[in-house]
Amino acid sequence: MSQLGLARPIAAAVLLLSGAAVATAVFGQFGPETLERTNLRLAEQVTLAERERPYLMLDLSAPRLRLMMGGALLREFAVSGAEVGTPTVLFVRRSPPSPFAGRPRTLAGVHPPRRSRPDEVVAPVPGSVVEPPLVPPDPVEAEPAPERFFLRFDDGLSIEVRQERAATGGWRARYTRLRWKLVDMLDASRPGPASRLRLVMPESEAGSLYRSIPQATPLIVS
Amino acid sequence: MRAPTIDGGTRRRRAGILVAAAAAFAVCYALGTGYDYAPSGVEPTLTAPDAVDADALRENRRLRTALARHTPREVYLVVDRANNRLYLRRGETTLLEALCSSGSGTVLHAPDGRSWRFDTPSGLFRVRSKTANPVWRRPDWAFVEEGLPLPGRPEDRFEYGSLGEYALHFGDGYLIHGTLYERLLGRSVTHGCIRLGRDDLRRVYDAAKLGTPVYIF
Repeated sequence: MSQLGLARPIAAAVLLLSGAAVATAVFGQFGPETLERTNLRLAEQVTLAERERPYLMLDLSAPRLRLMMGGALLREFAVSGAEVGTPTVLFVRRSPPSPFAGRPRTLAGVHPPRRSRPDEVVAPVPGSVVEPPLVPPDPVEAEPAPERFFLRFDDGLSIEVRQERAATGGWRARYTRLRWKLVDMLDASRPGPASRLRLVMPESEAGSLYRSIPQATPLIVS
Repeated sequence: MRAPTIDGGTRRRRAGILVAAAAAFAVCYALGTGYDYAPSGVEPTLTAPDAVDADALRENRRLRTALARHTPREVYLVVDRANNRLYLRRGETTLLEALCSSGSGTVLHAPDGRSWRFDTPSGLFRVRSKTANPVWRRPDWAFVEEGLPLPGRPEDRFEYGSLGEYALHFGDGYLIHGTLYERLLGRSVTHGCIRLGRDDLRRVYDAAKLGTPVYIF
């Protein structure tokens, strides 16, 4: 075969391989299953972005927790670990973890509940001696976050947020862990969906989340 | 013939067995009920390129474009009321994180039956005006809360210097402004406005333009 005759099949092979390489680069990180999942998440996010209200995005693979509004990042909370919890009763798993992605859910409550405001003040009588107003405490003092708290959603999902060094050392920590065990038992035994995710966060981040997450915030999990 | 009776000893033994069984069940229940945790990593699936749906890729692009319409292209401000923090961002980059003060949430009741609630509103706003050396026109509540009579002349309401060097108005009478009480920054002490320290206020004033989004949560 002449050199010209060889050139065509070689060129064709090079083109084919290049096309495959480009396609792999473009599509490789998006296999059809991942692309479908990504599209589901994006569709949810577009719907929530149009409402101009805050929503949470939890990326379990990173892990990463972000509070968004529209397409703007309001706050990213550092997460040092994420785990999926399966309820068990008498050593038997109740059900496999429900798929978290692609299901809209809204925050139903924070447990333990946050302090409700406001303070009521009656104006002083004109001409009377007015005391200087009391200086309120800063947010960490005013609303300290528990070492462990829950974000409970309307579809039965709970997110347990635990501080990194929660319940360590001493009898007090043992008592705390016992109380937590009782709550876990009650949650696992409760009828209906009881899926749980656990996020471990630095103390300051967990506290910020506890204080600031708005009521009825939707959640997207990916 | 009389029926056999159960004596006290047997009763006590049976009760003891029941209690022990209940205790054993309770221990088993406690040990075996709860949550099993496993790491949460989700692995993306890689498949051969020819298995990808072109429609799905088009949909992906459409959704990203739709999301981009809600994403600010320039700088924007974020106020976290619960933690009293203000962020100046561009995209996902934080250009400034500042301590601020937001509304106290207090409700003030006046003798004439009026009341005011001092909350910073939440939502999406935009910078509507910027002012250097702003003058504060004190509203009625500023006199009521100090037990002072309402002034008869409009000019008696004006106060100079108490709002700092700059103010950004974002709607409904709410401002981002300076303060004479920087030691109170980080605490929820305002009547609804956002207070910043002098240096942070200057940076925000320089960076923000009319129309800059202000997200408050």
